[in-house]
Amino acid sequence: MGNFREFLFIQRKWIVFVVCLLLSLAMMFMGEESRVSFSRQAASSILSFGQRVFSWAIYLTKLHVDNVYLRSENAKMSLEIQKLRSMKSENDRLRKLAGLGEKIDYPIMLAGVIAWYRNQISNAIVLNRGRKDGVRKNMAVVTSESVVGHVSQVFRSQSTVQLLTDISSRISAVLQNDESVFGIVRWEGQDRSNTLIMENVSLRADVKDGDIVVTSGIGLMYPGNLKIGEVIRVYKDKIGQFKILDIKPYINPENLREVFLILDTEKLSINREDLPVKRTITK
Amino acid sequence: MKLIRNILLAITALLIQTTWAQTISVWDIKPDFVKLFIAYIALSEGAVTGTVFAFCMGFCQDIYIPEIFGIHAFVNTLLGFFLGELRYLVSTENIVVIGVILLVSCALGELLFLLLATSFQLDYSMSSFFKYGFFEAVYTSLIAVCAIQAKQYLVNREFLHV
Repeated sequence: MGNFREFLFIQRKWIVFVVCLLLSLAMMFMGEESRVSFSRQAASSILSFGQRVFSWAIYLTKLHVDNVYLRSENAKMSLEIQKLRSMKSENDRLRKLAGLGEKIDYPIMLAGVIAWYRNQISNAIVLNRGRKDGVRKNMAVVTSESVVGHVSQVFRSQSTVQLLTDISSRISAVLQNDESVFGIVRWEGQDRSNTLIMENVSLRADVKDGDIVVTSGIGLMYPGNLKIGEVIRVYKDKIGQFKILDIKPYINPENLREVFLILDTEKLSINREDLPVKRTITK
Repeated sequence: MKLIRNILLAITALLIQTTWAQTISVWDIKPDFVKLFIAYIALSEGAVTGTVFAFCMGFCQDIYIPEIFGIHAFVNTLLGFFLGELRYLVSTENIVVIGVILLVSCALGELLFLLLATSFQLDYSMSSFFKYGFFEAVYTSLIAVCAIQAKQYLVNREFLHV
């Protein structure tokens, strides 16, 4: 027994090394298993508190600039709201006349960004809202300007969002001014620039620089007609069968401070008459 | 006491990496405070402590990104162990040696991470490494050298006692 203890003590360096390596290899091959869920929850809870404190310092440094900007925006928005209210009542009246029914209003929840995980492979942010706030996996995350991504992991009091600029992110999209131009938007990641690409676009599609790309609404993750970005380059793929569009997304992950979670994604499957693709099909 | 201090430092490094590191990035190249801390702990405490801390920090980095779960832990474990082993082979008093060790270890760590995360897609990994990974290693080692110099300056001026 004494010899065994002595052996363990002498070889502790190698034992620790091999155990850690085996554990990490096991983690790599097990994926998202319930076996690690407890430890992940615990670790995320520890980090969550610290991340809130640290990100608060970032907020404070930008508070004055934000304040000035928000005051001017507030003034502009007040005027805009007046205009929109009159347009809404007009729109409601016209929709009733056309027999289209009520437009979908998505219930949303504001969430603050408390951490960023960025490298050449993954782009994720951590939000200060979690399961206890009603966040669920695959909820769409947006800003007032565009789509941000979707919830990929939910913890008790925080959640992880996989951004559009993540190598495994895919989103079906159409052009805002021509819904027949359809493709899949993804991030290549290699040069870590913010540029997205839209693939499988028909050669006959009339696309030019500056065209706006929006979500198609196909699939239940994202509502239709949410802005993704702007076309900055159009070229053919290697075989010459499809066009590829380079898109400059409206979001910049580094500047994300607050985002909105679309809470009721299931509603999209019920009332889809407003989504652009559906309209295209019924034409 | 030393252990608690190191745990607090490790948590601080992780938090800085996931929050403030974005704000000091230059042309989208940001320093890696986690690797910096692993190098510090491994070179000062040895392979056992270095490996354990490196694995735990890697695990904490992995929890938010299920697609690459385990890769940070794997790469950091290797870094922690080999840097801990280097402790007895090189002079950790020499600032140039520390800078070079950090540069090489961060660069190799980044390359290994890219290779594992892309399932050994060599083209992707190499281009990504030479565009960003290598410069991140340079940035990280520069920060380490500056931190050591600052500490030395404070010690010489008797603002800091070691």
